[in-house]
Amino acid sequence: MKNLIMADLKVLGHRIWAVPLVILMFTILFNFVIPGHNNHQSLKYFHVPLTAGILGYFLMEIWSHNRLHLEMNSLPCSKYSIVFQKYLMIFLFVAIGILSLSLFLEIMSLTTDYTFNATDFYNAVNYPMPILTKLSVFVIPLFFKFKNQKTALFGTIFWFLCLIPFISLSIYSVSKQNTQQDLFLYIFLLIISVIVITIFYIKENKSPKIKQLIFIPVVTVFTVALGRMISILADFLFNLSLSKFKPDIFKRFNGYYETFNMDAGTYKSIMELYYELLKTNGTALLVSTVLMLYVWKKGNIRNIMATTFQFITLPVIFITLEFFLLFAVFGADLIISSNSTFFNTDTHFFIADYMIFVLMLIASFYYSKKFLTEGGK
Amino acid sequence: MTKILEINGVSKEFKGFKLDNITFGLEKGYIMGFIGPNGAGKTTTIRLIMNLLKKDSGDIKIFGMDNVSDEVPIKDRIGFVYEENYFYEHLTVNKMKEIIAPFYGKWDDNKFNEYCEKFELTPKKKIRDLSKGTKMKFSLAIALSHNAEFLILDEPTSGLDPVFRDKLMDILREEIQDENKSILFSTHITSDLEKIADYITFINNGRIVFSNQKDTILENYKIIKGDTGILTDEIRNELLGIKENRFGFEALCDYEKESLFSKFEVVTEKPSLEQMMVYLSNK
Repeated sequence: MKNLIMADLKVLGHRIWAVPLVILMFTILFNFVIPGHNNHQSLKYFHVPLTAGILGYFLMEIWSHNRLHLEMNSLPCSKYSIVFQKYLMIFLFVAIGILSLSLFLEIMSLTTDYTFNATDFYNAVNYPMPILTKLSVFVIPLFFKFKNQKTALFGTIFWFLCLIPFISLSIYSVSKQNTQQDLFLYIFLLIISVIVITIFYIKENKSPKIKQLIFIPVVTVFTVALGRMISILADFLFNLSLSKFKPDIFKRFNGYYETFNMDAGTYKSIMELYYELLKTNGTALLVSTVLMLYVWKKGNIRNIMATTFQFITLPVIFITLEFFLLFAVFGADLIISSNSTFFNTDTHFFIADYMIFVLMLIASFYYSKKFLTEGGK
Repeated sequence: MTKILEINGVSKEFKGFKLDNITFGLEKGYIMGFIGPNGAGKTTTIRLIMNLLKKDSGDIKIFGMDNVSDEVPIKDRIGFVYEENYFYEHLTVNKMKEIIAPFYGKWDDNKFNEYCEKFELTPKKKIRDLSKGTKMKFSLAIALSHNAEFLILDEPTSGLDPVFRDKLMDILREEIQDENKSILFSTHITSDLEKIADYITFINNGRIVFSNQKDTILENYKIIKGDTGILTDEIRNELLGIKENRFGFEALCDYEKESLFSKFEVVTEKPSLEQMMVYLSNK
C-alpha cells in the first residue's frame, strides 16, 4: 500500500504542492479583487473540492491510456490494494485541501477583520464532502472501466447535473405529486428521448432500427419508474409505521402529513393516498420491463443494455435507497424518542447520507476491482 | 522437468473473438516462441496469464501456483515486457525505476545500473525522449533487474529495426544461459525465433494449432514445389496450404505425405516458421 501511495505521489510530482498553492493564491486574490466584504465566507468552500478534484483529475490523466491497467496490474501487488489505494488517495487529496483551507482562513484572519473560528472551518469541510465523496465513488469505477479520465468525468457530471438531481427531485416531492403530474413526467421523458434519438441519428447519419428506437425511451422510463416506485414504497412504509407507533404525531405536521392525518387511522386511508401513485408508476415500470425484456431477447444490443444498467440504474438505486434510509432514520427517531427532534433535519440527512455512502462505497469498490481485471483491450 | 507455465483448457470469449480451450506448457530453462498472425489471440493469452483478464474457464499455473489466487508471489518472480510503452512519459528513467523497484522483493539496483550501462540508458533522460528501441531496452532492464525466473515478452520486436532485434536476441540468449530462467516470447516476426526458440506454440483464430519443440515441428512439415499439372484433387486434399501461380505451385504438407509426390519431379524443402505460419493461417 505504501509503495502504491508513494508511486502516485512521485507520478504527481510538483503538482501535489502546486495545485493547492495556486488555489490558495487565487482565493486570496479573489477575496480582495471581488467587491464585497465577506468574500472569504464563500471562497472557503472551494478549497477542499477544488484541491481534491484537480489532483484527482491529474492523477487519472496520468493513469489513462491503459498505463494503470498494464503497469500497476502487472506489478506484484494485489488488485484489492490497487483499488483500495485509489480511494485512499481521495482522502489524501482532501487532507491537502483541508491544509490549504486552514492556511486560507489563517491568512484571512491576519489580513482582514475576520476571526478564525472552528464552525467556519467545519462547514467549509463538511458541506462539500457529501458531493465530493459521491463523485469519487462514481468516478473511480468509471475510470477503471473506460481507462480515460474524460469519459469518467463526463459520465459522472452527466449523473450529477442531469440524472440524479432530476430523479432526486421527483422522488423527494413524491407525496406531493399526484397521478396527473406523474403522467406528465413520463410524457416529458418520452419527448426528451425522441429528441435524443433524433440528435443521435442525425449526428451518426444512421437509419434507426426499431429495437434501438424502443431502447432509449424504455430505459429512461424504467429508470425513473424504478426510482419512484422505491421512494413511494419508502414513503408509504414510513407513514404506515408512524400511524401504528405514533398516531398522535400527525397533528404536528404540515403539508402532506396533515392531509394524511385527515384520513388517517386505518390502513385503507393510507392505501387510498398511495394507490394512484403506485398504479401509475407500477404500470410504467411493468410496461418498460416487458419492453426491455423484448429488446433483450430479440435485439443485438445486449452489451449496450448491460452497460446502461450498470451506469444508470445503479445511481438511481443508490439515490432512492438514500431516501429510503432517510425515511427510516426519521421514523426510527420518531418511534424511539419520546421528545421527537423531527425538525432537526440536518442530523437525519447526515445519518442517511453516510449510511448510503457506505453502501455506495462497497458497490463502487466491487466494480472498480472487477473492471481492473476485466479491462484492457 | 519442472513446468514453469501450465495452461489447461483456457477459454475466453469476447464479442467477435473466442480463445477456445487452449492448452500448452513451458518447462524451466527454455524459450518458447508464441507465434500467430495479428488478432490470433497472443496478447489475450498473455493477459490471461498475467491475470489482466478474467478467464471464462480452464486453469493457468505459473511456478505450480494458480495465477489468480497466488497472483502476488507469482508476479514477484515474473518479468514482463509489453509491446506498447506503459511507463509514465513525463518521468525520467531513474524516477520510473524508483517507482517500480520497491514493489519487487528481489530488486537488484546494481544489476539495473549494469543494464543501464549495457543498454546505454541515460538515467536522467525523460522516457518521452527515448526512441522506441531504447524504451524497449528500458523495459527489458526493468524486467531483468529483479531476478525474474520467467520472462514474458509480448511482441517486443515489432516496430524495431533488424539490428536491435538481433541484439535483443543475444541478450535473451545470454539470460537463458543459467538454465533457471524461462522465456515466453510472443511475436509475428518468426525469423527472430528461428535463432533462439526451443519450443514453438502456434495460435490461430483463438486455437492452438501446435505446441512442440521447434526442431520437431520443422521436421514434421515439408514445403513442396512443382508443376501445377501434378495436383490432382486427391493430392490437394492432403495439402495443408497451397499457393499457385503460372510457374507452378508451392505447398505445405505433413512430413508423412511427402511420399505422395515420389512419382513426380518436385523440390522438397524444410519450411521456415514464417512459411508455416502463412500456410497454416490461411488453411
